[in-house]
Amino acid sequence: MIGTMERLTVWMARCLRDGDVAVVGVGTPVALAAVLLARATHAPRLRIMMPGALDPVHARVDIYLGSPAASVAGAAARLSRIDILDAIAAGEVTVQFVRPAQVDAQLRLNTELLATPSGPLHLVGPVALPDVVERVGRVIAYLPNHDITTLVASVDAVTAPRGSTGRAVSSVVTPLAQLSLASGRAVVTARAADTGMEEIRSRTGFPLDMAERPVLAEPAADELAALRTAVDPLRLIGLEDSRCRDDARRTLAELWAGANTRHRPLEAAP
Amino acid sequence: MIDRTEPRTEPVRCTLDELAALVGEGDSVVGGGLPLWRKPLALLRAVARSGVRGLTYSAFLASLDAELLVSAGCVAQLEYGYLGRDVLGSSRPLARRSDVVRRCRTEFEYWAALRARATGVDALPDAFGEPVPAAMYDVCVLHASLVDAAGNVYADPLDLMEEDDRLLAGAARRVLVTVERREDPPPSGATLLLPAGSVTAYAVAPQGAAPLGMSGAYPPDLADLLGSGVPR
Repeated sequence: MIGTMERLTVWMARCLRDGDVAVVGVGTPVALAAVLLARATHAPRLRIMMPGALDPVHARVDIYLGSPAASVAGAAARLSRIDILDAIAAGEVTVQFVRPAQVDAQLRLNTELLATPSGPLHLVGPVALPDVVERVGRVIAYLPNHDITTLVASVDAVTAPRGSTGRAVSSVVTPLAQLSLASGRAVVTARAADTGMEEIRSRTGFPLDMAERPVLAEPAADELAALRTAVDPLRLIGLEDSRCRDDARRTLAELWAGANTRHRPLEAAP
Repeated sequence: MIDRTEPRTEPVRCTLDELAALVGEGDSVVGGGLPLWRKPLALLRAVARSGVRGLTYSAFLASLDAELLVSAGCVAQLEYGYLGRDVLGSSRPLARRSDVVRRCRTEFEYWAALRARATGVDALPDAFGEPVPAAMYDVCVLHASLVDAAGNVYADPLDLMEEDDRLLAGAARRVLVTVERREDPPPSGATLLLPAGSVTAYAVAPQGAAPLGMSGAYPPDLADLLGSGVPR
């Protein structure tokens, strides 16, 4: 049985190319797993920039989530936040995943505010989303849920794009489909094998061209094996899935406690 | 502006409440740390107890620091790029708060302002080429691993935020620091975070980031962070 988040992670990993330069952090475990999975499978020369490190050596998501310092040991170089921002500004980053709360028919993204019947609900804020959409080569948005609350006709607040260049995200990946922009409108470019266009349309908050689309191949055995054993054996991608979030959080708490007892104390540092 | 005519000497060691008293009514305050790690929560609790009002609180990656000050009624304006609890989700205590003016800033914009101050120029461009004026705050609040007898402040050797904290401290008139402990001489390998001359005052506050974590010392307290929502 292939889990929804496993399918999403594998499809995201396939969006990455050998030789890409990707920025990723620990706050989005699915994106981190996708990047690590791509490097472990079809993109061994994928260059990874994450807070603290260039090309961190560990293959497993849990190591990075366990301690913010885990990326540093063995990495090609230490990277500060400013180093990463400079690389983005200079156009050196070719791909980045982002996870908005809403995506609309023009593939605009919202991470700031939801208009609800009981008033505005503030979300996490823009972080670097407008900057990344403007400066990174390919920006791929992902949604753990494909439904009419996340894929909406018009976002409640436009976090990105913000610039005058008209740049938008390259694509959106959900557990049901991939979408991209054509003539200013979102279109489905591929769909899950077990999901028809009618179901996708009914779970999308804006009209879609109903022409038949190519089918996304289900995760292959080697991709699943790599994800489940080499990349995410503790199933921490579940932190982004409301159906199994509690289990993943318990695992995370154990990791934090363990990572700290294993952490090299200050006195023993070289 | 920072007074550059007088040499800066070693910082004053004080209690948490004395440190908090250096935050005044209406001050602009910038704070460091990651959402789940190394925020100066013991100091911010003392600030909340002091009853100060009208603060502008700024943290690019805000979490319990902002929740604590806003919940205590200290904050008039909140500036951030991210407000939440990292992999644990959004900031429930502040999600519906409408009594605080929010100013969301993008990552490029936020750090361009700090880098402009650090490099002594009036402005630097953001990701869209728009000039961002140099930042200046009244107070910077940080939590770190240790302080030596001279008042130099050190971070864990695998800390990821040295550069961030130096930029924050460089853009504030008063730099207030809490540390887990005082140790002299510092252990080999400790990373100098701030030299004594750039720190106004400090207090020793063991577990000063709890219930958030401190790299090399203690992890975030998941049960607390998933609890009632309002930080204590």
